Amino acid sequence: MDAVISNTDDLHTIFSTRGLTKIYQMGEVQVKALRGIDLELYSGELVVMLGPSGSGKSTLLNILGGLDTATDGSVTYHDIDLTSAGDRDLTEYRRFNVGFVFQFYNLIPSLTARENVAIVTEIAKNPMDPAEALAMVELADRMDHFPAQLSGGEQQRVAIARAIAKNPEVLLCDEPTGALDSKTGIVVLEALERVNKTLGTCTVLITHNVVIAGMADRVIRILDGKIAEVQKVEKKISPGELEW
Amino acid sequence: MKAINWKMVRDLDNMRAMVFVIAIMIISGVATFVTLLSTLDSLRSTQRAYYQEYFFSNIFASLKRAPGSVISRIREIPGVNRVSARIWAGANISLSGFDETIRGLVISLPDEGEPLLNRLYLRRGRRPTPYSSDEIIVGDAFAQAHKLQIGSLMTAVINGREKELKVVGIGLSPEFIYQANPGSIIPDFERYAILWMGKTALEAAYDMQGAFNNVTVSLTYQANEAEVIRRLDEILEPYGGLGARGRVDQPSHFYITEELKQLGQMATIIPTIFLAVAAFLLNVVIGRLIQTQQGQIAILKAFGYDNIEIGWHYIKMVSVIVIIGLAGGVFLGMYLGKLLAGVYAEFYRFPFLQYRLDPGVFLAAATVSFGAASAGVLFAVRRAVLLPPAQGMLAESPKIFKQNWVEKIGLAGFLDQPTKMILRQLSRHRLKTIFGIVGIAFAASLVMLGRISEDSISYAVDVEFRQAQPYDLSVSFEDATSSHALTELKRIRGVYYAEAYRTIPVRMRFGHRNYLTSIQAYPKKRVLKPLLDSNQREVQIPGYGVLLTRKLGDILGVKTGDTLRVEVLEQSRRVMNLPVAGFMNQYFGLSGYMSLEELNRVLPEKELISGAYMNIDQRQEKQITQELKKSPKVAEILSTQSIIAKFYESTAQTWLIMAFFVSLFAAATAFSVVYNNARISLSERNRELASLRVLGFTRGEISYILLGELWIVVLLAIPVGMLFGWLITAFMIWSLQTDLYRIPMNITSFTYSLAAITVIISTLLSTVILRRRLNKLDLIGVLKTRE
Repeated sequence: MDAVISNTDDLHTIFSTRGLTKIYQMGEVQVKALRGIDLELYSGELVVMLGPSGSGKSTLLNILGGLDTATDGSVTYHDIDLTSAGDRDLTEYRRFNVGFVFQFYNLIPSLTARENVAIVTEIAKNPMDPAEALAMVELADRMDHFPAQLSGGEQQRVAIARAIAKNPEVLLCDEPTGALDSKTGIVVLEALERVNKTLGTCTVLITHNVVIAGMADRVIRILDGKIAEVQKVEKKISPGELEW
Repeated sequence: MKAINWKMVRDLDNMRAMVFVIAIMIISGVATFVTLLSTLDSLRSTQRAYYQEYFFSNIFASLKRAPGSVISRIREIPGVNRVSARIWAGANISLSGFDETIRGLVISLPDEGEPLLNRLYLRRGRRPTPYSSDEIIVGDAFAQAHKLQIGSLMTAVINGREKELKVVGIGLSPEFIYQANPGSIIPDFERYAILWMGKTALEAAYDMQGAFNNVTVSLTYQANEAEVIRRLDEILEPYGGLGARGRVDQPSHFYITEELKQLGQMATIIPTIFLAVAAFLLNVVIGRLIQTQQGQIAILKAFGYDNIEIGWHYIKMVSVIVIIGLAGGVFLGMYLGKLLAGVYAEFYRFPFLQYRLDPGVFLAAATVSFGAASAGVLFAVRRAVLLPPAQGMLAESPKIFKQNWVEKIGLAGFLDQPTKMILRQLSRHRLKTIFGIVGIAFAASLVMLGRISEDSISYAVDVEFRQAQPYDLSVSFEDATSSHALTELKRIRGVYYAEAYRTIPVRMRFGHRNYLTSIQAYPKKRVLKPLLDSNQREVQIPGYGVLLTRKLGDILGVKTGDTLRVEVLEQSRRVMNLPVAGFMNQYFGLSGYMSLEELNRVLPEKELISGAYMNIDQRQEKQITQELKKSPKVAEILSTQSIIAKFYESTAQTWLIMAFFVSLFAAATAFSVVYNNARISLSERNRELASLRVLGFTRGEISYILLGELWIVVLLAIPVGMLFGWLITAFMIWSLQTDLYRIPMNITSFTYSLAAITVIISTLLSTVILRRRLNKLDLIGVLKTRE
């Protein structure tokens, strides 16, 4: 199934993949995580990628973010061919263009919330002030706390602040609410939506939770390493209206 | 400060126990390095300064007697700068409250002004009043041994005449930095004294008015020393010159040079081995530490930090640890270096000590420490950054474990699950297990290295003194005397048996090589002085010719059958051509050996003896000694027991102090290695062990899983460490040979045991510390976070 929208007059393509394939070696087992994905992502949109565990959505996200390399096929970011990029080029690509939010936050335990954001802004070209990024996720009053002193939801919001503080063009979120209860999850989703609207960042959100798809511009379903369906959401709902 | 630097600071703070223990390893290596090298440097620098400031001579000559007019002829020799002609007189000294024989050497001082050469450093008091007849300056070693003060009195028999002397000054001379009694290599500060007296007084006491019997010379820049010696010998020969010698042959300078040479070798090799081992261990430990940061490295990569920035971050982190270790090591090394140099200076009678630490030593230590740590960092970081960040952040897929050989041979049924976990962990991570064994083995080998001096010294003393010298007393005469003296000795009540010997000072020549030494001649049939080689085998004295110690043979470049030209430097001063009869290996000294019968045959003065060895009734030793002292012929009486005691008090002491510090540092390194290995293992398996606690395992049971692995590695490492220790010791022994000392290879079972015990105690300590950590595992945290 193709995730390319034919009428591209109003949309600016950021990512384009063709025949993207990824095979992993896990111990003694070979795992075909992606089996030839063709996809385009556009600036400013909020895309939700749905799929069960093991469907390949995280793998796709990692390759888009330059965290992993493809076995076959191609990925371009604007005019940059990411599949042939070396480690140095991918590092630079992530440094200036991509923000990540992970399921288990991956904060540096020895840094405060503000410092966890600063560690990224200090190497970015045109970053926000860390305090400003934390204010966007409503954590202005918890800036000097360590991760161990924050709840799961707060930690995830710090991670979002860290991801957006560099003013990235792309925000990639891998199961951002997976480790949170629904109420906290909604708070996190609201933060993501706010960021998407305010900064115009292309936001890709991976989840196995179908309900979250309601807040997306497009929903891409992935199954067994292939795109099963691409759906434009006619009527988006706000995260506050989601229930699970 | 940048956030990434805060991360570094707080990470270091979180693992401060490990930082401290790693720093101990570095401190041990660096301190050993700095202690020994700065001691050596300081002693060399002090020796140079002392010689320079106190005009230590270049050439020394003794003679029978020459008139003062000869001095001007000596001054005219091209290359001669200053000439100092003196009187040297042997004396027997009596001190109230001390019953034993004291031999003394009395040296003349100009009545007015300073001597031109070999000036005295006055510790206390003053020079003798000009032309005074009974005032002396006494050597400070002797003064210290007998607690002499300014104004103390003593009686000296010089040239058969008794004289009461008063101490007005206590001093030192660069000529007697090492104060061995003539004929011995071991100082005996209680029984041998150096005294200085006004020239006029000594002339009168020794019947040497207007004459001299000892002369020293300093050379001009670029003078030809050999030529000056030759010309000097020509001038002094008619006056009974015994052969001039250069500074290299001057006893004090020779011994201290040999000692410093050996210290130099020890001070180069031991710390190098130490630092190399410490560097290797540091490299391994840091590598494993960085590996535990793999997840964080992946996150940093995900954020866009490049490999250089990540590598630099961890190099900075490790550099903090290295700087702590370096600083601690340098300060501790300087403190101990000063202490050790002070002990040497005290023993060698330097008047002052110029302690210095060559910046090169610090730089070398810093380079090695930083280099090793950085190598460890870079290797580990490189491994981590090679992984794509996504894989780095993933939980590791469960490792492939298999049944190991213990289980395959059918013992699986006898093993419980925890034991299987231990064995499979060891066999799965073979490289890590091997590195752990090798690291701990190296630490154990360092403990053995520290014992090298003590084991070898004890063995050499045992062979050289106890076994090779089964006599109770040895007596030496002032001059070679008739063999009737032996009969007289045998008649003394309490003397069971006596055997004579003759020692003659000689210069041996072969081709262009020559060496100033002595020939010792013993009766072919004897029991009290077996000639033992370094393998404790008795060597037969040849019926003709001369037997040389192996080292002396090498110096002269002779082989068996070659003819040596031997110039006798006493009595008839006969020049003999003697065939080399063979060689023997000995630990100490460079001598030739002949049969007394053969020597008497070739020398015109027949049947002379230099001394005798005696077996006595030990209960009557004091009376026998008193009886012997009455004879004016007797120069020195020595008992074997006191020789051994003196040896341990003197020469051995410095080596043993050094050995103590090396052993201490080795033990600290051993603890550091064992603890770090275990601590990092705990970090790596934290989650697994906490999960077991969640499942209901007791603290003791999970301790068994972690610490069982540690103990197996330690117990495997101990025999490997003993092997490494043997190899390192053999290498050290081989490189420590000097002209004077050939250290034997001897490792006692105590040393092997000490290495094992040190490692075991380190492991026990680590066990106690880690057990406390295991008791605090976060069980809830395990349930919440992903693998």
